[in-house]
Amino acid sequence: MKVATTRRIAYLILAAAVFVAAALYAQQIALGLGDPAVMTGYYLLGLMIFLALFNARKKLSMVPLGRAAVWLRVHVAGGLLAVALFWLHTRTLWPSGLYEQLLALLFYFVSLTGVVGHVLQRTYPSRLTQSGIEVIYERIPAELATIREEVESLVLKCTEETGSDTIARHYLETFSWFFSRPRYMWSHAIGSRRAAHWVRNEVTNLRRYLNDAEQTYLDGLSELAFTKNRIDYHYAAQSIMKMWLLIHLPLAVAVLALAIWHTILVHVYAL
Amino acid sequence: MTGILDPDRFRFDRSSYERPNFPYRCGRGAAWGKPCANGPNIDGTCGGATACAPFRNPNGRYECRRPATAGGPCADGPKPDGSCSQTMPPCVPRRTLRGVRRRLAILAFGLVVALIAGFSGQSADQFGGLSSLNPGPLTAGHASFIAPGDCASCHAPHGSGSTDWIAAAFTASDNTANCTNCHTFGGPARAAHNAVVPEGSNLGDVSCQMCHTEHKGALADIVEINDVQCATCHKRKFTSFSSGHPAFSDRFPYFRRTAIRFDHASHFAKHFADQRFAERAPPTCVACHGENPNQRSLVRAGFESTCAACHGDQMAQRELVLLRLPEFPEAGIDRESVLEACGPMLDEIGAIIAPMETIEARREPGLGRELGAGALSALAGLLPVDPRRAAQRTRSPSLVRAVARYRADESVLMPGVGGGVAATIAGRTAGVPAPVLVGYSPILVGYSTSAPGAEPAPSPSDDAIVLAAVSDDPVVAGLSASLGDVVDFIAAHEDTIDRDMVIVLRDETGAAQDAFRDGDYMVVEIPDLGRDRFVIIDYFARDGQVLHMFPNRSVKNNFILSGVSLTLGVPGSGQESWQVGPPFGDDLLVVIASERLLYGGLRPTVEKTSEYLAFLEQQLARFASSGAVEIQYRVVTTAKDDAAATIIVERRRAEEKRIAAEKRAAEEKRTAEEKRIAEVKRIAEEKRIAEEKRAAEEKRIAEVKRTAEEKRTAEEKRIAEEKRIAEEKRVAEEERLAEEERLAEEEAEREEEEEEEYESVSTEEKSIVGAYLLDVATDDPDEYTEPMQELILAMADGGADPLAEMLDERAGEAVSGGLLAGLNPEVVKRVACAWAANLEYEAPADASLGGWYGDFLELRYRPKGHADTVAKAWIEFGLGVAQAADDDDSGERAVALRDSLIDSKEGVGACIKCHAVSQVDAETDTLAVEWRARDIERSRPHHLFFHDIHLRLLAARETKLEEADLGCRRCHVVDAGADFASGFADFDAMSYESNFKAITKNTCVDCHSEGNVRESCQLCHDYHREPSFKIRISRN
Repeated sequence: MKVATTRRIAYLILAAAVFVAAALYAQQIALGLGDPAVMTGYYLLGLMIFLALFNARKKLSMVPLGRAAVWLRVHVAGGLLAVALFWLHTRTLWPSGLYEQLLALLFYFVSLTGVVGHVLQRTYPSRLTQSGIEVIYERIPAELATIREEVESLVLKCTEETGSDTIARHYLETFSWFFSRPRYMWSHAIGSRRAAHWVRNEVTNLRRYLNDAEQTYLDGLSELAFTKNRIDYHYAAQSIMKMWLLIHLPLAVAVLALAIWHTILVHVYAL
Repeated sequence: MTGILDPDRFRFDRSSYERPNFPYRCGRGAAWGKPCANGPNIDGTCGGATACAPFRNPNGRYECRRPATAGGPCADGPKPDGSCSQTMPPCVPRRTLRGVRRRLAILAFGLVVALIAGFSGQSADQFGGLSSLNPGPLTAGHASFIAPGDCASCHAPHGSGSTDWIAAAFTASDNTANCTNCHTFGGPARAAHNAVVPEGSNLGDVSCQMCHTEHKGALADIVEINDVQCATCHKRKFTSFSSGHPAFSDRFPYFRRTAIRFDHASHFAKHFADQRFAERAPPTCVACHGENPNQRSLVRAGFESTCAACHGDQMAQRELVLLRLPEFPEAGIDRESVLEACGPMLDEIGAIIAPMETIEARREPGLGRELGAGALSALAGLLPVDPRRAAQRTRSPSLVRAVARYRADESVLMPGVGGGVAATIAGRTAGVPAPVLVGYSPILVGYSTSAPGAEPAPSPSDDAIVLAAVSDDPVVAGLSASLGDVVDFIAAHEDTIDRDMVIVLRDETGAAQDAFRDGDYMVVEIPDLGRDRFVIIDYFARDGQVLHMFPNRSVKNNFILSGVSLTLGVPGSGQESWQVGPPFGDDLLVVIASERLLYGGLRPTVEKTSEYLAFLEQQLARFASSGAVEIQYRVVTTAKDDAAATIIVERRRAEEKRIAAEKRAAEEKRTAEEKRIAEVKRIAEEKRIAEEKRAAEEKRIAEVKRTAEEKRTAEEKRIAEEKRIAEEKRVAEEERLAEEERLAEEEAEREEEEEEEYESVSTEEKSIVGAYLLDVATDDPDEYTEPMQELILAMADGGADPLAEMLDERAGEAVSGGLLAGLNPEVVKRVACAWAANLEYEAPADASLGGWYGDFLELRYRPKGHADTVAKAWIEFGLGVAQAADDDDSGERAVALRDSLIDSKEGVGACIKCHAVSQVDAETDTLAVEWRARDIERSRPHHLFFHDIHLRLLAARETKLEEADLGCRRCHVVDAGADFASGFADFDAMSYESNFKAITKNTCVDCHSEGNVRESCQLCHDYHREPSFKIRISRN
């Protein structure tokens, strides 16, 4: 952990150094009555293309292009560097032309989603580890279906063996809603324990109407409900960690396309 | 219990392999059901309708292939046809997250491309500027000149076609070239600071975009550059103005002499401090320098509002002598040519021929007859008392000869003694006593019928009326010159002149006198007028004053009854008496007798003639129709002493004696003639009687012989007729030859006389201008006589045209229009005619308002005031011809001309007294007059200074001029010891000593330093040199 942090800081320092060098170079160009925006623009475009390669790297996992973690750190540091270079390039937070404003807006969105994504990636994994289980995101529907089958088997068995349908009716009226699909997504996303409270509350309320035999079956159902609750948490967290890319990546593609067109226009009209 | 916590549940044989990178996932799982183990197919169809795809073994039997993760081979096994027995309803596979992400990415890219493609084809300003070609609004200045969407104004590829557009991406743009379509500079646009870079400097070109980038908004400052950028290129590095900036030059900011030679030191210390000029002195510096102060150099308020108060009249005093009549050693101008060019009677005749109608109307009908006194006076009145008497005196002998020559058979009419009698001279051979030329304006009259304004005849003849004032007698000349107004007055009232009125002048002894000596008493006696009259007697002296003799203080009643004689001025009679005193000469005594009282009371005993005559004219006009007025006058001669008086008296007596002798001779001649006539009559009577007898006898014989003789007589008559005709022809031929010989002799004699009598009217040298134009020396008559005389003749014929041609030829271009602006060709002709006749030309009026005029021996130009265009033109002309001059005599004359024109003391218009003449091109030695105050902005284009704010901070508008060290003088410190004037002694504008002390850097650092007023480079230095625009907008 400490090593990772140190490496992360090292990459950030490297990015800062690159920025300082670029800024100094731009300053020299400006002092020589040149146009530093050309240099910074190309730097920025190159960096953006490099950042976009991170996605390709993930698709080309069979090619030995370095560890993904390294790529991620470089991507994060490069993203921050890109923001700094963007300001160095435009010399303003908000350019004047509508096209440039659109480009800047998307760039800021990409940067923002990148930062948010990075924060999510840094936040949720540790929490997921604390949940005590590991679930592959794609298998969550199957896991939930398995749990639901187990719960329903348990309820049938209880009814058959105890002759009481209290648990069965309660399941049909209440718990079937809970086990049908992931519930309390937003509560899980923000780390709330509202779902667990709901399960506990329902189990406690039901318990008052059960005999000893039924109590045993209720304990089994309760255990499955809490397990399903943890899977719901995984589903919420992993969905968020995957969903932000649905924003970040298309925006990045749009920004890159706009930037390339911007470069062409600059060459045609100004250089 | 679920196996969720079983760590081995992901074992390969216990769980299926998840492929999140696939585009689809199981639809059952997506609906939160139990997904099948097969998963969707790659094309998105359901792959889980059956549990497996049975396998046909080599034995031809089908085997179940359900994977272990799904429970392994099923108990039912495959159907006989090989299909799976475990079927399920198919699901609708859903996209995986990655699939969705890919589609979104493609959608975003497509959207961007669509947006770019959709709007790039439009104008940059359409759709609210959505076009990708719109990089943002221009600055307000550019937006004012460039139409919306007119990107091609600055960006050539815009709208140039797809091929060129794409090619532009790979070729360098030259937007600077487009900038210079509108922007101009005082130097190369692509050179640093627009300065001409020394060869080998290797500075390279610059482009506008280095400092100025557009599309940053209407209010963007695209001009500003910082100090560090300046230091990047400049070798001399320093941190700020106050720290490290080089010290100012020891001549800052007075590197070059001023265009206007204004000595502040002397004006401050001497002239402005002088109480005599205190009212005219400016109270503050800004009184002269206050106009439009927001500049580096303050604009002077202009000559008229500053300098003119003291120096306004100096320009007109420096005149230009265009031509001067030089001394000619001999008369070289052909008289016939002069007459041809100038008319029959030369200059003075030309002046009085004009009012022909008046002459015709006023003269007696049938000139050639004897004119009455009134007509003579009228003619005299037509001849204004000419100030050119000297010229007339010089001219008169030839005039007399001319009239005698051409009008030998005409009568020459002259007024007689005292103006009372007109004498007739019939061809100078009539035996009439020669007139005494005493009195007003003796006149020679010729006669012709030609119309006024006609071309002058080749020589004086019957085709021209010839009027000439001849004043051989110096007495007459002096009289007319000094008493011109009185003579004009008399002439104007010639119809009232009473020739019968007698004026007797006596001395104190009672003896009648025409001349009086110093100290003599003058007694005036007017015999009986024969009618009742109010009498006024005035004595007009030659000094311009009039003495009112009568009425006077002793006899105030001037009404004289018929039968009463008037005697005035008898010494000791108790009346006023008059004693003769200076000035001596010929005066006029005028008597006015009127039926009505012209004026009451007494005039001052002595007053100015002009005032009195004006008054008298007024009174006569009032009484013109209310009563008769008679006027008589008489010349009175006074002299200093006996000798002078004696000369006059002797002259008069000699004249009288001559007249008497002539009268006596005429009487004797008349008596002899009468005797001869009587004898002739007697002889003639005797002859007549004898003749009658003889005639009767002859008549009888003739009658007898008549018939016989008829044939012979007829024959003889024919022969006689032939002889007579032959004889007449011979005599006529002899007479013609004799006449021609006589005329030739007369002409030769006249020319010989003129040659012998010639004396040049001028003793001057040629003018410098004239010498230059003719390319002759000013002081060598042998050199200049002939060309000058040719020029005079040409001017007499063509006015100013010959001068204009010479000037244009000398300048090599048409400059005469400006040089001779306002020059009246008629004046040039008159001047030339006068000079051609060896006369001084006297201008009819004073050229007080300025302009061209002739003045005796010179043709001059008097500047009209400041900024006189003619004076400027001449100075420019002088500079031009001197520059083009060769190193020879002609060149020296051109230089002499230039030097005379730009002489600070004597040059025309006194222009160069104040305006510096400076060398503007050392290579060609070109000189130029600095007519306007020098534009400092241009001379040091990269320097900025705004006087306005400094004037306000220093309260310069309220600071008095004499308050040294305050206001303007806090920075501009007068250097009283400077030799300011010497800086203008030559043409080098840089060899100059200002009368202000140099401004040091510390003067500025007092305020402009770190922590105080800003001190950036651009505060005082402008990057560009004379930035401007090609197209200027003006409001009509």
